[in-house]
Amino acid sequence: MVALFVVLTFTFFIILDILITKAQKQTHPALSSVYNTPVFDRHSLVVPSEVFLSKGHTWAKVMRDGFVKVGIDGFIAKALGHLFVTHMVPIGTHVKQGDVIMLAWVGRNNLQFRSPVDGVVESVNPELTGTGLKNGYSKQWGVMIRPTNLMDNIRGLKYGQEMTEWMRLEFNRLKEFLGSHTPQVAMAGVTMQDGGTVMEGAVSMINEEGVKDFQNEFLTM
Amino acid sequence: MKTLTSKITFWGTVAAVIVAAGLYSTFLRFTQGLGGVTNLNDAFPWGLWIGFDILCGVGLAAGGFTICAVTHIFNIEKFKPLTRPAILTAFLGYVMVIFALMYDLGRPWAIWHAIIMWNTHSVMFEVAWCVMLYTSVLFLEFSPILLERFRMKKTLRVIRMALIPIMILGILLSTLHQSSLGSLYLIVPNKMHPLWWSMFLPVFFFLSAVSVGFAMVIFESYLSAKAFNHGLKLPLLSQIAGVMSVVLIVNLAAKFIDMAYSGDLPYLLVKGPETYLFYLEMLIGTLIPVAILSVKKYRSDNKWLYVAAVMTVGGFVLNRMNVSVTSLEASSSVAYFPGIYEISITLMLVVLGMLAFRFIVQHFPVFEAHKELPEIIVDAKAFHETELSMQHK
Repeated sequence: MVALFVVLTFTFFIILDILITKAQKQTHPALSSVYNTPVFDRHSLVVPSEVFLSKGHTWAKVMRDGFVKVGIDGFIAKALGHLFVTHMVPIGTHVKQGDVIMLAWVGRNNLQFRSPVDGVVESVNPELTGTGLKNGYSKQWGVMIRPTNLMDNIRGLKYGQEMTEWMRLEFNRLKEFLGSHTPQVAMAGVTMQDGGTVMEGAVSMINEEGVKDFQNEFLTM
Repeated sequence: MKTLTSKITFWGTVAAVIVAAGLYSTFLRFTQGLGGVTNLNDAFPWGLWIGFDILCGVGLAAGGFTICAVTHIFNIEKFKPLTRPAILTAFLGYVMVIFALMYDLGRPWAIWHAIIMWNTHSVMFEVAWCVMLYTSVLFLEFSPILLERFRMKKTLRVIRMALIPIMILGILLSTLHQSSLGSLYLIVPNKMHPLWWSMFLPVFFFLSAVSVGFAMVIFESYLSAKAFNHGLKLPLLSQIAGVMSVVLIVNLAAKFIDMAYSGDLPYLLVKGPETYLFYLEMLIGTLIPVAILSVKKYRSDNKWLYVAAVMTVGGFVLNRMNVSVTSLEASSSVAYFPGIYEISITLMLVVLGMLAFRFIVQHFPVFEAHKELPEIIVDAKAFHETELSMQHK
C-alpha cells in the first residue's frame, strides 16, 4: 500500500503539472510539437572546401573553365528550412557584387540573395526554382557567372579557416537573433541558454517583420 | 502589491504550503522524537524516510555518475551538455539524502561516529563512508560552476586538472554506494519476500540505479525545459533512452535468471498484494518503457520519451518502496502506513531540493558551460559523404 501510495503521489504531481501548464496556456515540453523539429547539430554544417562564402550567405565556386558557380549556402538552407527559389536573374545580365540575383520564398515572405562576384550571368540552374533548398551546394547551385573582377571580389569573401570562424559567429548571431525575434518562448529556448542546437527552419517560424530583419542582418553584403 | 501578486504562482503556493507544513513537522520531530511524528515501531523501524528519502533519493541521484561515465570514461563528448545539470541533481540529491537521514536517525548528533568509530564488518559502515565521500566528490565535481561564477580562475584551473580523476573516483564511489544499499537487505533473507530478496540484490540495485540515472537525466531535462525555457536536446536524450532500455532489459533478464536458479518463480503465481505489486513494478518500470523505446519513432518523439522516462522513474520508486516496505510487511505482522508528518517532511525535502536546483540554475552557469557551436567542417570528402547520406534519406 505504501509503495502504491508513493507512486500514485508521484503520478498525481506529474499529471497536475501537465494540467496546470495547459490551464496557463503554456506548452509542456512533452506535448510541444516544436521539439520534434530537426535541429542543427554539431555535424550538420559541412561546407565543401572549394567554395568561397559571401557575407550575404551566397557561395562562389571557381570552375576550371574560369566561370563561377553561385548558390545559397547550407547555413541559410538550415536556418530557413523550407526555402523555395522563385526567380533568378536573367541570362546575360551584368551583375555587380551585392546585386540581387535570386529571389526565394520562405513561408509568405520574400527574400533576396546577392551575387558574391561581379560578372555576366552565363546560365541559371532551372532545377533550383520551385524545389526546396536542401543543402544549397553542389547540384543546387543557382547561377553561373563569367567573372569580370574575380581577384578583387575574392578578397571580400570568406575561405578556409576564416570561413570556419565566421560561420561560428554567424551561428551565434542566429541564436541571438532567434532569441529576440521568436514569439514562441519554447522555441526561443531551443536556441538560448543551454547553448545547444538551433531548430532547423526556425527562421521560417518567425513573423513577417522578423523575416525582414533576418534579410537585413544576414543577407546583405 | 500588484507586482507581488503577479509573482505568486500555483506551484509557488504549493511549495510554500509544503515547506511550512514540513517545518512544523520538523519542529515536532525534534521535540517529540520519532514516536511522536511517525508510525514506525520496533517491529517496523524503517518506513517512508528510508524507503523513499534514502533508497529512492540515492537512486534518483544516479544521473550524475551515469552521465559522468558516458562522458569521461567512454569519452562520448556530445553528451557533455547534460553533465552539469546531472551533477547538480546528484549533488542536491545527496545533500537531501543526508538531510533526510538526520530525521530518521534516533540520535542524529552522533552521525559523525562512523568517521572515527570504524566497524568494518558492517554494511552500514560502507554506506556511511560512501555517502560522505561521494557527497564530497560531487561537491568537487560541482565546484567549477561556483568557481566560474566567482571568477576564481587559479582554483578553477587546479580543479579542472584534477577533474578526470575526481569523476572516476565519483563513479567508483557511486557504484559502491548504489550496490551497498542493496547489500543492506541481504541480512534479512527470512524477513523479506522471496520476490525481492536475492543474493544478487547489490547487482540489481546497481543496474536499476544505472537505468534510472538515465531516466532522471531525461526527466530533469524536461523539467528544466519547462522551468527555464531551455530547449530539449532531443537527439541526445533519444540516444540516452536507447542505452537506458538496454540496461532495463539486462536488469530484467538478470532478475528472472536469478529467480529461476533460486527456485522463486512459483511465487509469481501466488495471489497476494506482493505478487501484484511485483507485476506492477515490472510492467511500469521495465516492460512498457522498453516497449516504447524499442521503436525508434517513439524514442525520438518528445511525448513518448517523456512517458518512458516517467514510467522508468515510477517503476524504480515502486521497486525501492517494495524492497523497503512491501517485502517486509508480511513478516513483521505490522501494517505500516506513514503518518502525515512523515509525508510532509518527505514532501518538504523534495521541494527544497527543487528550489535549490532552481536557485542555482538561475544564479550559476549550469546550462552555459558547453556552448555547443556547430562544427564547421570545411572538407570536400566530408561534404560529399554528407551529401550522399542526405540523398539516401
